[in-house]
Amino acid sequence: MRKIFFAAGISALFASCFKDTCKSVQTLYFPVFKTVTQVRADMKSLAPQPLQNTGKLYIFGNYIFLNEVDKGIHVIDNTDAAHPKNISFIAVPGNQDLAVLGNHLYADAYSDLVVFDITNPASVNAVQFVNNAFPERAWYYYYTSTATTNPDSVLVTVDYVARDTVVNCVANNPVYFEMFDAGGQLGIASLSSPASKNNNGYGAAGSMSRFAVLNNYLYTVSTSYLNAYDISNGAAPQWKSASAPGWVIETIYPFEDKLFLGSQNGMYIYDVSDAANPVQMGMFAHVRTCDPVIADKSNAFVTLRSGTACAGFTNELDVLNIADLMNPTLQKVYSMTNPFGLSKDGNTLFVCDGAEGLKIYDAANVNDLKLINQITGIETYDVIAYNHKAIVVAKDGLYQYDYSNLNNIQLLSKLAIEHNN
Amino acid sequence: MKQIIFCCCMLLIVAATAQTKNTTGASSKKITYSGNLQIGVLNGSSKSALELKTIQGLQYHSWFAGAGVSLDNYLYRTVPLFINIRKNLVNKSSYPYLFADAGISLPWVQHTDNFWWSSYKYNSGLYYDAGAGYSFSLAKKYALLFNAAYSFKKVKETVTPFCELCPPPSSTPDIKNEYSLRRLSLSLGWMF
Repeated sequence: MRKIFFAAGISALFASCFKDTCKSVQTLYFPVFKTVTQVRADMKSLAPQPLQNTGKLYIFGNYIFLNEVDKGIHVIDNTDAAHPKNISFIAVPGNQDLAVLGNHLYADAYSDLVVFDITNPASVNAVQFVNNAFPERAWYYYYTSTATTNPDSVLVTVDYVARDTVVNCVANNPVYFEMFDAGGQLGIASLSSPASKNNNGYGAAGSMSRFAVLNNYLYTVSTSYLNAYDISNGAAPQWKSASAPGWVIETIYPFEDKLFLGSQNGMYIYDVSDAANPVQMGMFAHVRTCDPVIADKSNAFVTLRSGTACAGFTNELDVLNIADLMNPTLQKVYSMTNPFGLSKDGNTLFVCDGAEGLKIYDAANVNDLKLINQITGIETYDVIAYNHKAIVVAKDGLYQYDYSNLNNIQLLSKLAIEHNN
Repeated sequence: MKQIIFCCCMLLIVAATAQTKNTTGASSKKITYSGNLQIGVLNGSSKSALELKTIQGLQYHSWFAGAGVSLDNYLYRTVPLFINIRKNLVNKSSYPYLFADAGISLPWVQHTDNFWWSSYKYNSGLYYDAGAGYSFSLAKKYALLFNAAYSFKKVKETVTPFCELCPPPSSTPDIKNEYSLRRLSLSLGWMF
């Protein structure tokens, strides 16, 4: 009997010794709230803030409007590209996209569309709020953001307090973090487009933008819808129509009277000759992945990239033939590392290839792109190339290059990202 | 990973061609070369898994010191690199012994992306084991080994979660997991 108890005791001891355990360090985010009324009252030019988590950008005349993801917009005076000045910050909680036409800046603020008067870019004020323009983001408000709701009863998350915590986890099953994952995947940088010219100078968004301005219309894409707003009265956007292109729309790019939509399963082409009522023309399907798109008269250029939010394993540049807009076809594929945004100036194609930096191609013959130059040492997300100047959003800051001589591209300036440690 | 495989192959080549030899000259029989190959099973609360191990080193009287490498298939496949100490308990041709290993456990897979979900990165962690065994002499310099040990390894995992339409804040926080895996190791070995 004693031997049995001894063996059982040894077994119990061994069982407790041979146990797999797991400790998991996770970050909890505690929201800081303000009412909608307070938030809207704060939507104006404030003191400049350091660049920390930059997203999409829009260039307008001598100014760069650079998104700080989910927090607001940096206003940068770029009169001297060699010495850009971060002059102010517009607090816009939930902001991820922006566009400019004339003296007005259009920005999303969670589910709302906000119109800012930028007659004086150094002193900006919100002049109009369109409630629930992006209803898929309305759940960030604690009450539905509609015109009939008392703004004082609606709470908006304006900031987060982060705190790490240690929890036990299961040793044989990885933990999936579901609660506090961030956005930003959809809002990383934007590439330049040939965008609208206006009385205030050249303006351009990028290929990764979800806003597009064309012919006095603002087009926005949510995950499933293409919305058209008449902004001929810049301060008072009028919603006109919504279309349902397809699955997980990510980007929109205007060219002449066409819109090119990038989605996770393909590229859609819309005709906006009737500006209020976009009509779908052709569609080019591809494997599930993230794909910003730009276009010229003959071709569309689509980068496909893998990554956590994008899923898939494809990393390439697809050149599509759009001679027949109803039936775009694949003309050529170029292998890339992890491409993001892209821009084109004449026959020069700029591709942000993640950690590989910025690649510059001679695209005179799209069937044989020639790599002219490559800027390495920076992890690039987005580029606007216009008039011999390339503005590059990278992981560590905003770079500007002079590409007058494509064989000798000169760095003009860098606005550095400041990290919170 | 190629470097790890290369090191393992080199160690096995050394083991296969090594001969017991004297290394100290006049008192040449005090220090001798010895090595072994082992195959075993790791048993823990999660599962059982195969383990392959080789240790090469020097024998001095009843003490042995050497270095080893193994392939550890328990839950997360790793390649432990370790220092080994062994003490023979009796001075006979067949003898019991005690041993201990300590070192680091290198991840076999350092980075993997799940098609739909998250990205996983793995880093090295602590490895050690300690136990007892018996050497059963077969011929002049060969022996069969029977080992039982408590084996521990730590695996560090960084998970970048997938989130298609995520709420703020913008930066996706990584999750850092540390797995402490405690096993009973039972193995057979060939000593030469």
